[in-house]
Amino acid sequence: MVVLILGICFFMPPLAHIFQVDRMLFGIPATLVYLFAIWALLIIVTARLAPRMRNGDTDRNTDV
Amino acid sequence: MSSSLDIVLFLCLAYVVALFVIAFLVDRSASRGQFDWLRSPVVYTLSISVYCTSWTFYGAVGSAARNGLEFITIYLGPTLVFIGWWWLLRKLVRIGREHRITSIADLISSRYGKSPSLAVLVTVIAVVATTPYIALQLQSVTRSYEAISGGGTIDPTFTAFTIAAGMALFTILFGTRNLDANERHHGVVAAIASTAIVKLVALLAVGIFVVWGAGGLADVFKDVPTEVIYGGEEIFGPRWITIMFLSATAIICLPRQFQVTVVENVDERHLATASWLFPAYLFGMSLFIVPIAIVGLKTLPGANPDLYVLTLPLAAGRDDLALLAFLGGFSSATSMVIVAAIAVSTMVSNHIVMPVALRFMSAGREVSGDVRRLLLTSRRISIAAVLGLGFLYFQLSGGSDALAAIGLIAFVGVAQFLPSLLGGIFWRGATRAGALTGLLIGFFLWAYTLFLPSFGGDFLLSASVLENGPWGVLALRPQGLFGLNDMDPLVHAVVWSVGLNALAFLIVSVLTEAKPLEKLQGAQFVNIFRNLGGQTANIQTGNVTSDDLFILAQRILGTEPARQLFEEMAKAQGNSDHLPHPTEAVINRLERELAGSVGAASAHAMVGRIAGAIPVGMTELIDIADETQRLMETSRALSEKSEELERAAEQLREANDRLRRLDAQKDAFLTQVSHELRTPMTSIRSFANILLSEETIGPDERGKFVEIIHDESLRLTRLLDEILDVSHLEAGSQNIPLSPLNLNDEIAGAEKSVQAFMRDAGVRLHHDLQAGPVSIWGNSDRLRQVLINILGNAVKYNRATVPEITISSHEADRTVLIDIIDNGGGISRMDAGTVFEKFARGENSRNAKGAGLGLPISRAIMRAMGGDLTVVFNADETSFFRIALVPASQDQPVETLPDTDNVVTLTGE
Repeated sequence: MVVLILGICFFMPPLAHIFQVDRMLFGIPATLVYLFAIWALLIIVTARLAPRMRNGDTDRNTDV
Repeated sequence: MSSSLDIVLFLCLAYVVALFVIAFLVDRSASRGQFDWLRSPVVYTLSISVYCTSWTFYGAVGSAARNGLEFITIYLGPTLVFIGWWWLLRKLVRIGREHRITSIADLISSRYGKSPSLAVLVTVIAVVATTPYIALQLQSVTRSYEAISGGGTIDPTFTAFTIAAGMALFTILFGTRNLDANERHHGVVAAIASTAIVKLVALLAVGIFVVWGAGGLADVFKDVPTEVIYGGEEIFGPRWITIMFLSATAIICLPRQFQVTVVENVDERHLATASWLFPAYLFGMSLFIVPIAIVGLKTLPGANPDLYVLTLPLAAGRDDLALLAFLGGFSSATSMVIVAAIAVSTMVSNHIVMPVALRFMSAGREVSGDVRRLLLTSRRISIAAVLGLGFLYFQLSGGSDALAAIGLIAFVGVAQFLPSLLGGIFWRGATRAGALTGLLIGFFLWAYTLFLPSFGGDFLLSASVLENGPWGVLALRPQGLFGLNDMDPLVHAVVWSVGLNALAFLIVSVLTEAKPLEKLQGAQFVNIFRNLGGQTANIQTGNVTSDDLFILAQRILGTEPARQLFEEMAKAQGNSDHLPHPTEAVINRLERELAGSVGAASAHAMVGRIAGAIPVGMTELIDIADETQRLMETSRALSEKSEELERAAEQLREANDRLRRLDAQKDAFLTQVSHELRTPMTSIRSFANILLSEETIGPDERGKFVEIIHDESLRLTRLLDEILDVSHLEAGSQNIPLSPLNLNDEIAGAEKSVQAFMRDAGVRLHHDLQAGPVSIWGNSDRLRQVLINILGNAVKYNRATVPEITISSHEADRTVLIDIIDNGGGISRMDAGTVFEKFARGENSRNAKGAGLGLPISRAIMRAMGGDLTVVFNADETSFFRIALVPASQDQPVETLPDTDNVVTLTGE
């Protein structure tokens, strides 16, 4: 859930505006680097959380 | 490049054949129950990638070349949904499974009281939104084919038609093989998953080639104006947000996405894997889009940017890579078209064809024949029709230029489902009227502001209407409603259609009252994780018969599955009979099974018509969710209690019967006893009377009389002793002490006591003591008493001219048996039932002496020793007495239960 909110924040204005700069990072436009980096980060965090989601999920099923 | 033309054709063909083979093999192994690798979350995730169509494959690069980074939103939306909205997807999947949902139309109609009108509306929107999308795929394949084959040699119409026909064939073959309970298509899913890999590999290969062919990333981006990358001044503007929202919506609402994500899901836990793996897939798909676009812009100015993926390798002379890219695009198009056709055709046949067929059926149900076949046929025709429509659209539109535009139009179309869908599964107050109004308004506005204007004034809306509004009313201009003139057309359309849709949905829902069935379904959808069984208590059992239900099930599910289903349900009811009772549970189960084939609304209508269609009354369903739950529990508790009561009453009745029988026996016994006692008493009294009154009797006579009185008194005493004995034995109050005895010793001892008597009667005695000197539990005195009694009877009642008696012994299962067989034929079957009753004598002994208590006493003794005494009949109707004893190797026995049958018939001996 937190990941989602963070993701929305990072990909939406105004936060994304900050990175709309005309600079290059490793020879690649900074905005592009920024977007893909955040994206990869989100995937990694979710992959880490996935097993827990699965387990927490079964717990929740039994008690509600 | 005509030499490569053959190769292209050959490759396409080989590729399609490979898809067929995969689908066929998987279908076959699935039907054999080998699901293991199909159940892998990776296959599931790859099948979701049907999201990446040829629009993604070719169009994303084109979009990046035209609008810069904007293309990325198409992937970020779904990424956010899979990362964060795990609970939404999981809820959808759970609902889909519990309620046997077959499509998004089915879900929405099912949620709002299984409404047929909603189902039809959703189906229509889906068809209208999907048709251009399919056309788009046809177009991209045709164009890429033109590009790779050098163009101009083949009529594009022919190419498009061939492709459409081929896809229709594949879809019909593997999409409508069976009416599976859940509309799952394992073969198709496997084929889609393999195309997903081809897509990704192809795009990555082209990307790597392009980037490193151009000298690395740094060189690619050198001297590139930022406008190209950003695609305008403000990339993170309203359009950015809108497209992100649309793509997030599409990943849920697109009929084909719903099909692979929800309907084809075999395990909820796969979502956990997909939640990161699918975003990762999208990540890989978009990694090289921007570099490819930039290199394309630099090296191939003037070429169609939509085809850079193909033309860049071609320009570099890498035909092999171009072929791979072509196959990737072909895969994307194929998978999208196949899944979309399956999803949409399911909706069309379930929600449009079936209701019509139902009406037709009601005219004469017998005439209709096999609904199952009708359903499959209608689905096949629907597939052909959907693809045909796509082809027609492709022909009519003449190939609109920007591929991405058509895709986005479809996205906005299906986004109209969102308010009803989300409201339906999270808000219990949502009503059918609200959903219907919202969808209608949204659909109309979408068509008016986006879909029809996309024809550029050629279709329904003329160019002047687009420019100046209908009847010259500027406020109604399709792309500038109510003065919103300066907006991007896409944003404008989304704001108006989705916005008003949601608003109408909310307002009408609040204002209208839901019908009971809607409330019930709503409560079950919203509280899907709290409900245990997804029960839909909605049809009263009324006057339905199992036969009718069975016939219906046979028609839809096929004879064999229907028979299995009903057998299972009958078994669950504890009913060995062929058909189960038409209880509410049975009807609901059947409805759910049917819903898996024909959709909830149709299933409800069918079962409803047979059951007499009485929806539950208002009174039972006030504030349904918790109420129903509680009611269900209460009624279950009640029925358990009443069952318990019934059981208790049954036991009481049995006990009462037994008591009454015992009472009658006691009366009979008393009558017998008084009768038996009366005979000696009478003679004693009369002789005593004579002695008292007659003075003239001589001493001889007097002595004789006194002797008679003495004898009779002795007989009386003996009788009373026996009566006391038998009643004590039967009451169990007389404990017989048991000890291990040698069987042969006991038999010999008993023989000795009757030796003289037997010799007088001229009886010949034989032995057949197979059991030998085995040790048994018993009481020596009592056991001998029984043996003597039976041997005595055998001598007394034997009417053979040369009486013979055989004593045999053998061991049987945990018992030792002694048979006493005489050649007199034994007692008759009629007597066998009564000899163990007190005072009863066999026919042969009508005039014999004795009170008739010998056998009852013997039996009581044997039972007190844990054994038994029975009459055994041979096959030739002769009989003998059998004594059963417990061997000392066993534990010391307790008393044998009194109500065992004492007449046994041997069959083989």
